[in-house]
Order: sequence, then structure tokens, then C-alpha cells
Amino acid sequence: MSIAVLPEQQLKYLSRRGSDITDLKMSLETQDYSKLIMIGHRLKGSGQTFGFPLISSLGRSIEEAARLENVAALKGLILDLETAVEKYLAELPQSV
Amino acid sequence: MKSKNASSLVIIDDDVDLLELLSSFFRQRGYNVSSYEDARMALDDIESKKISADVVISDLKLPVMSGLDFIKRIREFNSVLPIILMTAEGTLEIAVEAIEAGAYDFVLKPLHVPQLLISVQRAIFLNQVQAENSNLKNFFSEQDFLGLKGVIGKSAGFKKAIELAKRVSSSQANVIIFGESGSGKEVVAKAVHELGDRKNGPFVAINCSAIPENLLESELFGYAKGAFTGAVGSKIGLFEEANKGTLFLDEIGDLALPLQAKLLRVLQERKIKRIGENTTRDITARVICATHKDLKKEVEKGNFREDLYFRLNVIPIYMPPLRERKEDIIPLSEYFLKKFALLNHADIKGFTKAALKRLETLPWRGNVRELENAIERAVVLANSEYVDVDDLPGETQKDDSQKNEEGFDKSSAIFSIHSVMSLDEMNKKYIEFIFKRNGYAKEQTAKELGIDRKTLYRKLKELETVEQLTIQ
Repeated sequence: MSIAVLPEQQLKYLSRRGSDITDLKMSLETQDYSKLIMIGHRLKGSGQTFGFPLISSLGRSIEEAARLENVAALKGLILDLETAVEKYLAELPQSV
Repeated sequence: MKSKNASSLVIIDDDVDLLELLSSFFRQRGYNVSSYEDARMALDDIESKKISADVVISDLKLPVMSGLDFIKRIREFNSVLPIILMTAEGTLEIAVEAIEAGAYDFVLKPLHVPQLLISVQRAIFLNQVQAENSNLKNFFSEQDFLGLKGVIGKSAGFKKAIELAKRVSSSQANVIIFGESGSGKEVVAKAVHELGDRKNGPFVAINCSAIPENLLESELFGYAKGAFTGAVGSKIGLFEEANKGTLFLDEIGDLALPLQAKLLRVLQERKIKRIGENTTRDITARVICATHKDLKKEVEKGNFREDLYFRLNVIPIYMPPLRERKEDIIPLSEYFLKKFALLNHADIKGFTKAALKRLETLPWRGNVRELENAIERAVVLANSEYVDVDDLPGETQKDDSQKNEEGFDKSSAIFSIHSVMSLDEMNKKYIEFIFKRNGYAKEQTAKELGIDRKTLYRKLKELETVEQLTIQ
């Protein structure tokens, strides 16, 4: 985990991923692949910085799958992202 | 609240989470941070100087204006502002494109924030060094008189010398500059060189009193391989080195008689021979000489050749001593203050009124060189933003007839002992006496004392140490 990030900053980051997941699902439905690429790219660049390497990894995969317009892969990846965010939230210290 | 002396950081990223994280991280470390999601707004604010920026951190992929376009626009009006680009695209092509566009550094996302901090610190250091370099360059390229760099003076005697230098600058006539030690004879010689058609050629200077006679000949004329023991290769002399330029022979009055004869032949025939060679070589250097001595008297005493004197004395230029250029003392002092404040990173703003008065009343027997040394010392030792009287030489300098130190009778320039002192103390005081008498000219002092310059430097350093301890 990056020593630069405080737990409250991590909580804020994870909390905001909820709207990302909603946007990803909607974009998949409307086949807005450029938006899927954009969100995936952003997650790729930010997840690990906040101490969540799995989010970066999933972001990279979402970006790649969106470029290939691979709907099936994208469905699975969005679910995995949802699970990862819940898991990380649960692991955060209770005092936050 | 902005910290007064903190560096200013501009961060641009459309990822709100990262923007907040980085802003918080750098603010906690004392930086003034301006953050933007839109590069165009950041550009407008930097250009209009609404915000200050020492370093910019920008994402590469941004809506409206990309990081690369941002750099290109910044470089239109600021070629030195360090810009660090961040991106999750880690290809070599992108990195090269970023650097070619003018990025200072290129960091990959996901970020390792402490590593980004190091990059920012390095960028700030680079910025400071570049700014300092630019200040120094501007300072030393200031043109003060007749377009000459660092030539300071408005007194009649000084102006007359420099204007005469200008008039003779493009002629081939021999020039000899007369003036006391430290009065600025080399400044005049450089003026003749810079103002004439030889300004693009080399300016080669040598002090004839500083080098032993046997070495001086090989320095001036060069030598062939094997010409003497130790000549393992050939070497060109200063006459040849100064071809198409100017050779400045300082303290020509100290040249030994045999070398005077050789110099005379060179000036007459415009040819030299390297030591140990038969080949004659044409020289195209213009020769300018200088001396603090009265050459006419030296000729009468038999120390200087009369024919050489007449050959050199075609255009004599007289450089007045500083005591005859009183109106130049303050401008020179201010120039030296700026110079040494820059060189020593000292925050010295000027002189107190009392200090200015002291500067104008001191006799400056060592002339401009002594003044320069005094200002340098004052800048280094000053305790406040303004140089005060206590930072300058004492008023006892003023009175010629007064003994200013135990053991010295300055009026007759004789070293005399008035009380018992240890050998070490006597040594130090004698060195200091000779040094001051020679106007702080180190070469001349070393020669008179019969020691080499390295030894003299060491002994002068010991003197400084003693004086600093005394001040403390």
C-alpha cells in the first residue's frame, strides 16, 4: 500500500467507485464503449495508487475488453470490480 | 493559506480522486498547490500570472486539451517551467513524444507518490539552478560603458582612458597602459580588444612579474620537443595562441633585459621562433603592454631598454588610481556587491549610509582590486541585509602617517618592529604588510616574498582564519 494514502482517503475512493460501477453497467447496456474505455483507463491509473492493486488490474482488463467490444468479458469484469470494492471496504479499519 | 517561501505546484488531472490525493499530499509537505481538472484553465491562469508555478504535474490524457498540447502551449511563453507528465499509457513512443514536446519527466500510473515527490523536488532544484544561472548570465553580460561588459565608471579620467582605448582599438599601433597596481589596466586592455576588429579572436593575458624568467620565455615563444630537459612534446607559445587576437603583457616593466631584447625583435619583425626550432613563424597577435612602473625612470636606471620603450610607447593610456576617480567608488562598490551577493547566495540589498560614506573616504591604495576584495569580504561576513561600516576596512587606513598595526610604519612603507613578538606572529604580520602594500596582488606579493603562490595562498588563509576568530 502506498504510504502516501490515509485510510479516510481510501474510504472516499472506494465510496466513489459505486458511481463508476453504475456508469459501467449503463455504458455496457448502451454499448458506449468509449465511456467504458475511459472509466477502465481511469481505474487502471488510480487503483494501485490508493492501495488497491486489484482495482488497477481490473481497470486494465475493462479497458482492453472495451476496445475489443467483448460484452461477455465486460459483464464478468464489472461484477469482479463490484466484489473487489466490497472486499476492500470490508477490510478497511473500523475506526474510519 | 499560502506559505511565503514554499514552492508552487500546479496539478492537472480529470481524475478527481487523484487530484485530491496529490493536492493533499503536497500541501502537507509545505507546497502551495493549485489544482485543475481542465488544462486550459490552468494554462490561462499560468499565462496571466494569476497563479505562480514552479512545477506542473499534468495527466497526459485530458478532456478538451491533452497534456501534450498543454506542454506545447506553455512552451510558447515559458521555455523552462518543469512539467511532469503522468499517464497510464506506458509506451516508449509516448514517453519520447512527451520529452520531445518539452516535458521534464514522465511518470507512469498507477503512481508511486513518494517517487513523484522526488521528481518534483528535482524539478524544483533544476528550476532554481536555471534561474540562478540566468541571473548570473544577465549580471555578467550587463553592458555598462560603451557596450563593454562590467566596465564601470563615470569619472573623467576613467572615461578618457576607455574612450582612447576605443579610438585605438582597430589600429595596429602598439599600446602601453600605465597605472598603479589594481587600477584596472587589464580592463583597458580588454576594452581595446573588445571594441576593435579583433574582438572575435582570443585575448591572452600574462603577468610578466609572476613567472620566473626561464619559464617566461618558453611560455611566450613555445618550444620544440626535446628543446630542453623536460620538453617531452612541443608546445605553442602565447604569441601564437593569441594569433588574430590580442596578447596582453602585464607588468612589462619587470621583464628581464634579455627577454626585453627578444620582445623588441618580435615587435619589429612580427615573427617568432619556438625554443629549439629554426623555423620562423609569423605572428598576427596585437601586443598590448602595461606597467605600474615609470618606464622612463627605469630606462634612466638601466633597467629597461630605451629602444623597447620607444617601440612600446606609441599610444600610452593612463589609468588613474581609484583616489582620482572618487565618483566611481560607489558605482563600483554596488557592482561588486551585486556580483558577490549572487556568487555567494547572500541576501544583501545594499550599503548603509555610513558604509557609503566610509567607502568614499578610504584611500584605496590597492585601487579597484582592494575595493573588490573589501566588498567581497563584506558580503561574506555581513550579519544583515545591508553592509555596514563594521563590515568594511577601518578608518585607520585613512591616515597615512599613522601606524595601523603594531610593527608597521605605513608612511614610509617600512616594516619595523616596535615590540617583541613570536616568530610566527612576525611572519604573519610581514606577509600581511607586503600583501597590502602590493594592493592585494597575490602574484606580486609571492614574488617579493620569494615563495610560490600555493604557499602564499596557504599563509593568507591562515591569516583569514585568525581574523575570523578575532571577529567572533
